[in-house]
Amino acid sequence: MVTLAIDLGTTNSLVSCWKDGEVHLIPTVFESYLTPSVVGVDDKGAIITGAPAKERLRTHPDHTVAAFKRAMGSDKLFKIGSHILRAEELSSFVLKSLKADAEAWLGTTVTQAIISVPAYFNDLQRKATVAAGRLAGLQVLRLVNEPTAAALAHGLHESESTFVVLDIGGGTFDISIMELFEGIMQIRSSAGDNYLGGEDFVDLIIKSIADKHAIQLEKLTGQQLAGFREVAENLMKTVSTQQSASYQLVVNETIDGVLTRQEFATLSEPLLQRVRQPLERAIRDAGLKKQDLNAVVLAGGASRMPLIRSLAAQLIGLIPTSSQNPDEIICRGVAIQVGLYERDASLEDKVMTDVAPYSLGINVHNEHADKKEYQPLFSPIIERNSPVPVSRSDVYYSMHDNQKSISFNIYQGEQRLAKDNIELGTMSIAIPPKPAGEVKVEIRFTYDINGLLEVDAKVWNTDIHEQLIVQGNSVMSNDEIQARLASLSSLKIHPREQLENTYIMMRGARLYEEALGDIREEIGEKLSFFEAILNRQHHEEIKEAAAAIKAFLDEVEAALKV
Amino acid sequence: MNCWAVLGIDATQDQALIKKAYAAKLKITRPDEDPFAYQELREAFEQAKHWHPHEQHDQSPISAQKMTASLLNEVFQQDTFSAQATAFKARMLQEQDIFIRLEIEDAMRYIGMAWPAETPFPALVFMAAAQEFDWYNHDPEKSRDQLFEDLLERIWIEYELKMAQSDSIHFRFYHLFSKSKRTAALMHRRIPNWVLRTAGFFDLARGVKATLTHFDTVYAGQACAATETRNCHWWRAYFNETWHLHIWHHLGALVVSLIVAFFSMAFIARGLDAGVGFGYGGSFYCLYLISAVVIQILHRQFNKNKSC
Repeated sequence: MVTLAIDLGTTNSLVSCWKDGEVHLIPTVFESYLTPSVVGVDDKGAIITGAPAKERLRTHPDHTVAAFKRAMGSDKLFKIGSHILRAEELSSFVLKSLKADAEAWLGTTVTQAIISVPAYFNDLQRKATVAAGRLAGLQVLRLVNEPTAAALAHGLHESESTFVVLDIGGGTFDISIMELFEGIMQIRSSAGDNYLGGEDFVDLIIKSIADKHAIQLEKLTGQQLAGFREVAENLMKTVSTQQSASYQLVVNETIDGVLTRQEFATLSEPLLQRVRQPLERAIRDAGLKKQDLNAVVLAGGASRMPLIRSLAAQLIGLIPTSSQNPDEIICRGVAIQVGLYERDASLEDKVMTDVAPYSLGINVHNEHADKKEYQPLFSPIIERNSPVPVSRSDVYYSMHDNQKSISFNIYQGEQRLAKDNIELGTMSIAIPPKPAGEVKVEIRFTYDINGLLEVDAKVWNTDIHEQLIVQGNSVMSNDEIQARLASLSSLKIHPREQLENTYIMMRGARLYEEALGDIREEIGEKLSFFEAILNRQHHEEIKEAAAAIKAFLDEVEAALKV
Repeated sequence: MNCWAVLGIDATQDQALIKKAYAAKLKITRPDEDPFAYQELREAFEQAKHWHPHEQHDQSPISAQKMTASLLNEVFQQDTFSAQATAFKARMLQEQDIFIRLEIEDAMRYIGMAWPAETPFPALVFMAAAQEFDWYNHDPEKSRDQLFEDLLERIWIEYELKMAQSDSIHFRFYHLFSKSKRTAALMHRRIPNWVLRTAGFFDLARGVKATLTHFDTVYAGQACAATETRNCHWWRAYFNETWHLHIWHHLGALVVSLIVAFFSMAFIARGLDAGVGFGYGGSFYCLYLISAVVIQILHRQFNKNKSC
């Protein structure tokens, strides 16, 4: 039984496995390790995922969605074509496609996986990820924090060291500090920002160009906006390697311009500030000083930006190591986690311990509060960066004479006022009638190794006892998952065997749109020819033609790149 | 068990040694297999890392909690109260490093959680322990005396919960504790005698005495001193026992009164009727009371014995 190791990213997802004592990344049909986290509906109403869907992001923005990971654990609905789907369901399509790739590569069926999530993902988002796994037919054995995974990948072959991992993916930013000693890989602390990632830098570029040329973003069509986004993404990549980059944008009229690295740096300043704060907190929570850190490891695609690299160097005083590909390091780490989970013989003497990145607690009465503006306070029970699994309790007292029950909400966060934290659930316990303050309730929080929380309330010296396994409102319940599984199974999924050819057709269609004149005509001609061959369904012939047109499209793409 | 016992090494400041011991233990105490043992190990590790031979540190809550539970188990194998108290103190002294300088609230919590519901809570033992181990109060505004008052009050709350169903003597005793100031005064022998004389307090006082007499040997002196001097007066016995207990005293008094009345009827009737205006009934009643008291005193003198 193989357990898959999956990095379910905002922009790209990867799958790998642990075999024969080492990590094997599993390639997709398109011979790349990355599967873009994009889902769409093709012209026949079938769901397509990954690279072909990404090609259609530009041409069919209404039928394609990306970056839905940011909506995990929320009630946001996405409309693609005639389907209305939740982020969990969209993620499940990506997972299904990864699963199909893995099954083809391994030659067996797979039903189990370990999936990575941003360390700063809250309880709801974690549960949503597990639900997505179930929708894709995968039992999620364990969730592992992304920076922890990156730290595993970096630390596996190191000995004594204390290093910091900066994980800047498409949509999330995480930091973890890991200490290695005697084969123990101990996460000392984690911090982060759930809403900071590469996509935010792209948004910044879009906004600044729109301001510069007085383009009203609200008035653009979906297709124009998608094109705009693509230009901005390319600009960001170019500006990372060169001093300046020029762009050409077709919005009603053709707009030309140049973005310099200096300009981009000024734009990004507020975002970079948001990197600094969690980093400082992580170092402080670990009880360390900057001098104690031996290395900086970067993970996530956005960490390729020189801005991030230089910021890391400036903040910590160390040049980031680049021994591993930042796109792959997390997935490699997840595969190591699979090995640890399975107690692989080659990892016999290794143990990894992680921490809870958030504080968890309940709301309590504010004694000094003005009665009119009643604001319950947050009372943490498990402090952030406690090693997990952890179980802690605190005692609370009744507030009124003859109070019949004590009700409280469960929160995750660091804010003083309870309402500023994320509410995870509500609980109530009946208490015997007594004068105020004479009933004691012991509330115990148990946080397991997957980051799932169990709350236990007990009235002292009585048998009254309540238990709650926190299940947020915005998370799909078991019944809902079952119901959705049934309705999703009726959805047509684009057959995997044809994916490669579909991808060629879609890529061709996009290039046709971008190109002009003779080249355009040639693309059109070749595509029609290829389509005709596809219809003849002669396997050998198709294979040959596909190779030819692929080479041609590569050439076209290179030519178009300026 | 202290952190060094958990790690399986002797107390040291050598970080490398501590890490080595932790790593060795962690490999057989995996977080995903035994979460509780892992938490204990991890807490021991953190504590050991910051250990300093000349400083006292706050103890790991979980080990103190566990410790209290095992300690109380041991204590409750003893039969008598004094044996329990002695065992409790002895065990606590053995585990000094865990119990010393706990925050008083924590100490109470551990004990409250581990205490079996059917056995009386030895408030005095607790207070002795608090003094012995220097359990401190987090709130700097409170004096030690205030702290003890709070303590008694809390102990009572615990107790009331445990005893709510049974109208036992302990319950009444701890009901007294609910008025913490009075309790403290009682414990410090500050209650003036006249307070005890007011009717209605006797039941309570009797309850207190009965309970305190349970406190043998070590605390017997305190217990008796707290009650005997003011409660064992003849009039107390009279009121308590004449009216409520001894029907034979009533009958005796009636007979005596009848005889005296018979022989002195004319004299009493004439004298009192003219001078005081009692009438026959009132005079007879006076006679009855006087005889009852005399009988009571004789009875007491005769049986001068047991109490304290």
